Amino acid sequence: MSWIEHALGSSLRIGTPLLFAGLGELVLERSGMINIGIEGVMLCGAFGGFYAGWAAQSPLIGALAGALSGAAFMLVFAFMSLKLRAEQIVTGMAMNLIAAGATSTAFDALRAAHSGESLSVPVLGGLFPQWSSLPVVGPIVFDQTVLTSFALISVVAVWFYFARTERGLELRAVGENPDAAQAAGVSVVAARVKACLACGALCGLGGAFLTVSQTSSFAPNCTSGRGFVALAAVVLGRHGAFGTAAACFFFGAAFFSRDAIPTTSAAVELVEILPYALTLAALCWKFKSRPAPAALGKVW
Amino acid sequence: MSVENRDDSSSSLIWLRLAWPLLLALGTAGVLALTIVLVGGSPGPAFSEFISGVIGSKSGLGGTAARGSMLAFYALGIALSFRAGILNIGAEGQSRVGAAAAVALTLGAPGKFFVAHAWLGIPLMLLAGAIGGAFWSLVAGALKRWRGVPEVIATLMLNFAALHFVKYLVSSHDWLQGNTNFQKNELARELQFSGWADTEFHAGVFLAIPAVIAAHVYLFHTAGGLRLRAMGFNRAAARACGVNCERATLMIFAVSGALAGLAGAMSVLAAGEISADPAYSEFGYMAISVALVALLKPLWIVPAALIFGGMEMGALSMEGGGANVPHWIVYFINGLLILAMLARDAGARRDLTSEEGA
Amino acid sequence: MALRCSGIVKCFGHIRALAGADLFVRGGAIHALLGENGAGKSTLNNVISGALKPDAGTLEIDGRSVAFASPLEAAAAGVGMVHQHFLLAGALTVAENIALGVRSSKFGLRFDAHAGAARVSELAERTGLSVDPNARVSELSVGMRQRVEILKALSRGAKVLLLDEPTAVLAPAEIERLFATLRVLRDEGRTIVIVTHKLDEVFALAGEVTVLRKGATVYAGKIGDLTRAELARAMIGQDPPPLINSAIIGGSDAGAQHIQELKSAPARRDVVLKIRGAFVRSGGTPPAVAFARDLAGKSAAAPHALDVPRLEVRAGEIVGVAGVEGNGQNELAALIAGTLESTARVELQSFCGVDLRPLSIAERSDNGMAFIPSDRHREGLVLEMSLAENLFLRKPPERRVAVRLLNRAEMKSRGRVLLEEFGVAPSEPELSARALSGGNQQKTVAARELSRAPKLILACNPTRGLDVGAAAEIQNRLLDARRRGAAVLLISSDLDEVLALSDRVMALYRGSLSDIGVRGVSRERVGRAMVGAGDESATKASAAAGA
Repeated sequence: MSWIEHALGSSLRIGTPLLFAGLGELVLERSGMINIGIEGVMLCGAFGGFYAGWAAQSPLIGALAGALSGAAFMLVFAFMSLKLRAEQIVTGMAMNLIAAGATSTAFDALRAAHSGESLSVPVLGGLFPQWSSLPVVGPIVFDQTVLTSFALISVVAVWFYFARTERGLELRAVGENPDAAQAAGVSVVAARVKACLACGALCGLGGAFLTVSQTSSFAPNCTSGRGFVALAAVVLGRHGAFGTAAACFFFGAAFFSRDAIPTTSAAVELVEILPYALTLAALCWKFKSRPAPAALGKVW
Repeated sequence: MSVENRDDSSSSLIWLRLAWPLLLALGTAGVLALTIVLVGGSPGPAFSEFISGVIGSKSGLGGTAARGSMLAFYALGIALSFRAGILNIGAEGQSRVGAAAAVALTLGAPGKFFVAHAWLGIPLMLLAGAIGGAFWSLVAGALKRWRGVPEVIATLMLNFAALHFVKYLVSSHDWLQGNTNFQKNELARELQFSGWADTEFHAGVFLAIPAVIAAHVYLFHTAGGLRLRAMGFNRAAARACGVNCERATLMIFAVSGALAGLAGAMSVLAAGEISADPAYSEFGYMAISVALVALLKPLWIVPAALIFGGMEMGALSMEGGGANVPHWIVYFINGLLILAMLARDAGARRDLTSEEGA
Repeated sequence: MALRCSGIVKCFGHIRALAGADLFVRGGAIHALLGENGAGKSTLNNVISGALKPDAGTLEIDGRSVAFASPLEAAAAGVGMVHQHFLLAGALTVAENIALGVRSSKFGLRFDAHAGAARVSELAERTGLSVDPNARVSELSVGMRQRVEILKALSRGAKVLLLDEPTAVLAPAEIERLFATLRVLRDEGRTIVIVTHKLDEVFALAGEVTVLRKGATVYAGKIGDLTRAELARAMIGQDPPPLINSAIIGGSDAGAQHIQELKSAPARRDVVLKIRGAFVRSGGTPPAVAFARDLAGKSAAAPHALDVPRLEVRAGEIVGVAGVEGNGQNELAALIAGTLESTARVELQSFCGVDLRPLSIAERSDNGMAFIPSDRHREGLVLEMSLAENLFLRKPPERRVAVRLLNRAEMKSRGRVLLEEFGVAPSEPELSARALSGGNQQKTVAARELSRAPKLILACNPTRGLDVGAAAEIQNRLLDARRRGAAVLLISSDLDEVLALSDRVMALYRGSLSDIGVRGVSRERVGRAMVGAGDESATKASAAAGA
């Protein structure tokens, strides 16, 4: 496989957790809520996925558990924002801290309890490995794990949901003008709770990808800022499914080039900065965009 | 930011309003105990290690004070920012840049001069730290002002960037190469803060007190503070009343950055070295809960910071001792405390917003 | 469908919005629900439409007792509501807004945009309310958006239509069109309840009227049984204060002396505010694009948000700018006050002879400019702060104690004096601004702005949402200022207020400001200018100066 194919395929692979998190945050933002704590939700999914994957020795069970952990954790956010009507941004920060503390503590305890063993998850396979020999598309799209393929399908699914279904329309209305939606008979709270759960599941999957697919084990703070990069991707992607996917792919490429640049000891730190700098640079360029949902982040 | 004591009339929750610090403490202890049990330890000995870690020895007290002062500076900057309506969470990175700036003064020929004249060198290093932190913070401020980048994302990204950049500076011996003031990254003895009997306590801890008092006076007793608070509550109304919101925003970015940078410089002076990783990691984020628990009031930040610093010390000693509870638990508790403060504030707000127009 | 409410009570916390309101509407009639601001009309409407649950009282439709748990249930029973502040999602299209909430398939998974649009077109044809189903709501004019609201209620099969202050945001011509539509709907057999506080409209449109005051019904009967003055008295509970608003008292003696004073034209005094060739480009913000498609369906996005070839305000006169909301009022106010965020090209802008353009907002107010903003919650007051802090936010009194500190004692004492002088109740300076009623909040804003004897007062919708008493007080303050020699620029979407108060009348349409005439100019002429059907000279002037 040529260098370009390898680069693109790796970018897609590395961008997969970003893609999941980006889609999750997109669904949530279009319902009018903003969660900067998706980093924490990803960590939850990462640990949940790791634990289940290791205990059951099955990466797929791990992925499923990751999604469930993320969704469960998002219920906290739903409760704080919808029932208590608390400030969403600060709630998100708190969730990051909680997840960082809880997952690292749990992992240390687990390691201590099973000292001496290597805690790892079996490798995840691909969906259509036999098609990976197709020219161009093969190595990029098909030489990927199940999760990446699922991520790509999710992009289309999210787009279809918002563009072509009645429920999607209702969710969009909830994000633009919750009073209007309510007057039309839509239950704003129910719709937002479902959006929280979907966001949690997707972000959880993104985190789980890190521990069952990208590596096969957990490490404290393994998400290292990907959640925040996903936030930027939603903004860059003009709050649309395909735009977010493109932005995540772009950031995936940024992470890939960070890993691919050959570096000597200390300079590797400089290269580490690349994704974060690129995120900021990308945010600086204002595209003539579809504005964010009108009710984004407002307490209702 | 709306975390503030409100003039509310609902009497049913008054007891809650008065008792909340106690509830908070009990809740924290409860969560800690629960976690200890879950992790496989036993609460009794763990708690006694926790407490002895904080107040049981000179090093415990010294460590608490040192950590408390770091948190106090960070939280002060955060409280000022939040009150102005700015979500600046970049204390981590601003502090690191301040630390590096302070160390930069000790390099080469100027460094030799400062070692000889420590009375000049130390304040200048602190000043450099403040300037470095202010500069880093203003990068985010400028991005927000001129490109509309949300400060939450900007300061977070800059945190990561700063951490890695300073790590690079420190790990590559080139930067510290010609520095004869450093023996293996150590700062010359003359330029260190005088410690106290081998503890982490250092003279800089006392600086937190005047900072907090100045902030309190500024916020509540000057015209500038009045305008700042108005801007935080309602930017449009403040602007219509003549408040220069753009200038005030940049100023707050600078001040909060300076506070964080100052703390970073102090930690370097106290430790006598600059290491590749920050001395107290994640304090910048934990300071958010300090600020919130203090209800964004400068005077309450000192006791709040000391309590949180103590919690850190306790957790560390719990980890080191036999209880084997990883000290990550502190992040967990910090996050829960933020949620508790938000819940409390939301409860207060609910009483006020139950009116609809007729 | 006949509608009957008996003894409706609704409280919000300790505020009693409705205290035993009754309403009986005959089927197939247009019924006016009259009352001043704060009387409880909107609350009653919300109860009938299912948005609010009453604390006590009964609701009957065609003799059957009903209790609606949600607006959806009310819609199913045939009750539809058109809100004062439209409940539409701006980023969605007309068809999407109308289809919102209606599930055609079991899981709500399919959505056919074409079928939806077709349904909307068909409904629009039938009722004569034509609208483009694929237009984004945020691009529609206010009059068009109201049509969408009405269509939405009709599409759910509304037989009872409740309208909440529908004419507040319309120009006179649009009001005529709305009334024509309502008559058509009535002739079809629907029942219409229109909430309003304008007597003229009540007499023009309705067959029956119910008057609410302080949450209770004080009169119910047929139009023509009571005179205008008697109805006004029922609404306010006493003889109307010397009020100039002719729509309320229309020709009664009480207002005559004020009108007499105003009729004396002011002597030609100095020009306080002069603007020439001001041009503000359209930003991306919705208000600027609001008039892209007007009622006639003519579309053409205006290239500018504001185009002022010439504006002069002299000392001792009131210049009134009439216009439907969204035609550049915000931009004009922002240009003069200094809060404009988009770029403006201004040839000349002087205030008392001094060039205004480089001055900051604070400097403008220091030089004697007062600004009463349109939205007292968003731009007027900082609700979370105390009254004293709000009153002195512009220029806090200070004292020197080594450093310059706030003089809180002075703030409190001077604040109390100010609050009492302007009739704010309770006049407690430490009280949080949020605790005050709308009228008292507006009076606080007036106290802050007018107490410094300003040379120019920029007043935007100063009496919006206020009850008659508070509105009268504010209008009297403006008249006092005029008497003392201040220049007043009044920008208001309340045409009657503009006509009653102004020495000179201008109109704002699609950002173009045009001169209409001096006091005494006819309502029709101003009304025409508000929708762009103005005089030849006016259009020629703005065409020459624009683009």
